[in-house]
Amino acid sequence: MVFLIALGVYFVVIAGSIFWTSRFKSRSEVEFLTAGRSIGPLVGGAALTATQVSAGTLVGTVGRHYGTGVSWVWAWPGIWFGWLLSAVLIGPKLRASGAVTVPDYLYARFESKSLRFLAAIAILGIYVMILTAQYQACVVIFQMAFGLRPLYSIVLLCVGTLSYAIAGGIRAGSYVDLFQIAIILGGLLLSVPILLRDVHGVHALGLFLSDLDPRLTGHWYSWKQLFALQLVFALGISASPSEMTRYASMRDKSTVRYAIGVCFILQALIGTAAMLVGLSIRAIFPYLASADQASSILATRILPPFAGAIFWLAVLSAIMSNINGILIVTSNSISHDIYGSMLRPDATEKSKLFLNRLSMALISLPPAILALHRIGDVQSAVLISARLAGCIFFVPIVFGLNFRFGSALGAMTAMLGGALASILWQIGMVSRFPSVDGGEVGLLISATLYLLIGLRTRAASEGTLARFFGASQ
Amino acid sequence: MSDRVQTASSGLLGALHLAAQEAAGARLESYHCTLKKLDTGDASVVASMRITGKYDHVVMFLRTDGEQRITDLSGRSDQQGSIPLRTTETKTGLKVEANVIPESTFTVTYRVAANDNVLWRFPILVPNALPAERSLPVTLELSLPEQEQFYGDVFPVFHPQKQGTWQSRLPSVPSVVIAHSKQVRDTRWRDRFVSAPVAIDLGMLVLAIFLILGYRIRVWRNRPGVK
Repeated sequence: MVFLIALGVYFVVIAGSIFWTSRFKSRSEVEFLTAGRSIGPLVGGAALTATQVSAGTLVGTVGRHYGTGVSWVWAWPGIWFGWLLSAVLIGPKLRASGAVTVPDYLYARFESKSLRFLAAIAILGIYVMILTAQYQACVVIFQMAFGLRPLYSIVLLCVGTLSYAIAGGIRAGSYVDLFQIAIILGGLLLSVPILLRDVHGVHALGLFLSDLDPRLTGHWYSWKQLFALQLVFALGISASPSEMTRYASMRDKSTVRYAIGVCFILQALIGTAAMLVGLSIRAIFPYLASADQASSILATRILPPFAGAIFWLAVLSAIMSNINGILIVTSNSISHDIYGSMLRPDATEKSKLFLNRLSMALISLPPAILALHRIGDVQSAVLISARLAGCIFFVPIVFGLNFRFGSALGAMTAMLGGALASILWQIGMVSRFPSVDGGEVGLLISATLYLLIGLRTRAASEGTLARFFGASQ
Repeated sequence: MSDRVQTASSGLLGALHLAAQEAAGARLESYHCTLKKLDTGDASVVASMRITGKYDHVVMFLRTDGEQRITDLSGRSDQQGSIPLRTTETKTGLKVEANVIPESTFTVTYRVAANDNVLWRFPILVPNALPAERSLPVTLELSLPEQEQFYGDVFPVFHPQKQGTWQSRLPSVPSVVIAHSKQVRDTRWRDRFVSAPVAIDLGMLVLAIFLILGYRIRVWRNRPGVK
């Protein structure tokens, strides 16, 4: 009952923001996709965080800490390194390039329509997988909270998320993201004192966990596993097209840097709270049937009613904000990169805007159907797509933004080769060499192909290179 | 599709899944614990459980946080009669081991007393076995002496049964039950209504109102046409 009331208030606030921002009509597709380049550092930082924080964080990360103890915290340096790369080598330069989407940037930098098409298709493939995982997480939550049937949960989620993504584009999404991040942070941070009271303080928590299994407070993973994990996260963050789309909506280069700083702090708070929550639940309920139950047991059995309802809303917010970010980046790929730039370059702004909104609705369908058939656990899908995004986009974007060398053919083979190597390694070789991750192999192959083919084939014209790096000496 | 996702995510996640499977050899089919707070201020606990699967002995934990004493620990099985228990002191309580025939139902009883004579944290015996997939295999029953009532914090949530008895059904065994209780005549209204959970709920409510207002003000200040 308390959750239903809280859910009602939550949807009223979101509907209010949709109504408010929809009064500010986007006259062109670019304005819809970039919010008129008006987003400041606080809202921008919250939007970057919301795009990154998903069900994988509130269900998966809490579950990982529950299962493996403190050790999972070593995944965070990878995430922070990813943001650092973004702040120094990617975000500001991408914003300065004026590109609206990642395929847009690749086309501008390498002068290749095929490369733009390939990038748009890759984005669609990667994000359909993440979208499926988010829908699946939502099904679990609604089932545990209300016993709602999976189909109804997915319809409710689609209607809720599509309404503000379609009505307001990046602008509505960014403001709703700010609200949602506050809910996520509040839900997590206020759970911590209750849990610490139940476990009798941090000292007692540490002692009990080490009694239960010394690895919980020591080293669960080997350094090789940790390095691979950090690399996958760093690649996934720094080369994530959904994050890059957000840069385009910010005022200028320095806003991008500040927003990344805000995001960094928000994620550090969320990560620390998630760790304390996961560890405390382990001390209170040492043996759960599945580590992914940790979050739901917190909301239903440990927290008082209203605090529990807020925690459920935090999980729902994480899912909705993540889906919003994905819908924006994938619909951009269809309307801007495939339809507007390749199929119908003479299309009117109105028709591109219409297609963008229509494609948001259409993109929601395949993952919704897949989620009804369960394709695995949430964290697996998030890791696979982070790995693929890194292997496909990291090299052409980071090398392309920072070095003059490289060609369209080199970038294309780097994208395809990196993805293929990573997939093949994960399927065929990882059982023989478990300490080497497909992300490491994919990145190595991608960089090698970019260098070898890029240095032997025709680079972009001098005019294009001058636009990105200034005139050559 | 599911298999493909699992294969593609193996390596890193293969190691992560170990956490939930470390005790996969044994499954906790049912667990029933009766916790009785006595007039003397201490408590008696009777924990009956049935664990299926292949195992040669059962390992259990009692978490006392150094503030409670465990006495009169004994075990009994429906097939073996009295069973010897091996106990080892740990930094946070006791590790209890018992040789029981798999699939049999066995019971462990013990008494708990607080070092400062104010008992409100009750250590619960946790077996090292993953709970069965079916929902809520764990039942806790709590009873207070006559003329005593709860006030303040209670964990987990208990529902009243017959006079003086409360019950909680859970998906897993908690390591602790928290229950503050007092003589009815000593309980004031603020004891009943001013507690950490109420304070946290109020904090959440204030946060929610603050967020909604702050968010509306921000959206209003950034409305179209306002610099």
